[in-house]
Amino acid sequence: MAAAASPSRLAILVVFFTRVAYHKTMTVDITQSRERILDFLGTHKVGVLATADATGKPHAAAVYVVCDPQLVFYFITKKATRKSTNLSVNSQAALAVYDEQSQTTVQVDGQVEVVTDPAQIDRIFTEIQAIARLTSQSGTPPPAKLLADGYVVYRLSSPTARLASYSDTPATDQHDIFEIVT
Amino acid sequence: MRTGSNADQDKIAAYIQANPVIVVGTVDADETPHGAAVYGCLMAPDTLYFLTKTETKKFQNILDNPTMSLTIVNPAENSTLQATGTATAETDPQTMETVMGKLRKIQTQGADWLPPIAKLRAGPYQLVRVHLNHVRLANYLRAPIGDTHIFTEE
Repeated sequence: MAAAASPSRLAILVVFFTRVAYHKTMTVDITQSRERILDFLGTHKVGVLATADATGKPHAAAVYVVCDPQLVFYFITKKATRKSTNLSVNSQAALAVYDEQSQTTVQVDGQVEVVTDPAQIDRIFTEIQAIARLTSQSGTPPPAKLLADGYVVYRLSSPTARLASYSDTPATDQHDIFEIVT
Repeated sequence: MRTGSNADQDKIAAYIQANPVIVVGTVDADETPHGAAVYGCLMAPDTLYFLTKTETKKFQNILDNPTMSLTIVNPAENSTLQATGTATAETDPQTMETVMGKLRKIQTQGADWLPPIAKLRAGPYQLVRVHLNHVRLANYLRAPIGDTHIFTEE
């Protein structure tokens, strides 16, 4: 006959299954949050990138944003722009993409690095041109019109991405406003 | 403030009124940038206000470093407004009442009558005044490459 489970064994089992269930729920939630962020970014491709100069003075500028399924962000600019010179001295940046009507924002921040892989650069340029066509009926992205040295493609890798949906959420549901993907 | 001519100032005021959502860029004590969207309103050519709460990251950053940048984007028009300024907490009751009246009208134009900041538990409300040092409007639509008239002034 099998021995009856002792109270301590039961407690361990309860903790184990609770953790499994919790982990499963969190995995599903994070997957859904990631999908919701990607859905939002699929239709909102213009963001504002905040950088800081060598003295710590902030600067923010609009960029077309390409995002891959791993929530790694790409944007292009030219080498002599303020954002580019700032990134050469401080590689930290923050990106905010918002929708005024639905009161939704995606916020990310992290390290920015220059993309050097030619195939990746080619892909980003193609996608940026498509964004220019979609958003303003022009195939020319704004940096193309600036005389500010050569192009540079940047990658922003953020440890977390945060989606905030204010209009869907009652004022009492504070914790439902944010969805954070790590 | 450097914003060019009076005509430029009128254009800038009209642009902010038509596009009241502004991304404010701040930096923390470690010089890490942060960007967040707010509703803003211009009360004078060099004075802009927005409402936040005292425990938000942007306000905490402002306490460390009051220098900030402000950016508005209108993707359909391919235009942006970029400004830099210095932020201070507004404390004058009469000014607060006047500004809040204007901000209320702007904030209730969204999908929800409550402004986003109202839904955050982040301490008491704080009205922030930004003294603008520099503002420029850029319109890229139909501008030729290298056009020097993209910006309202340089």
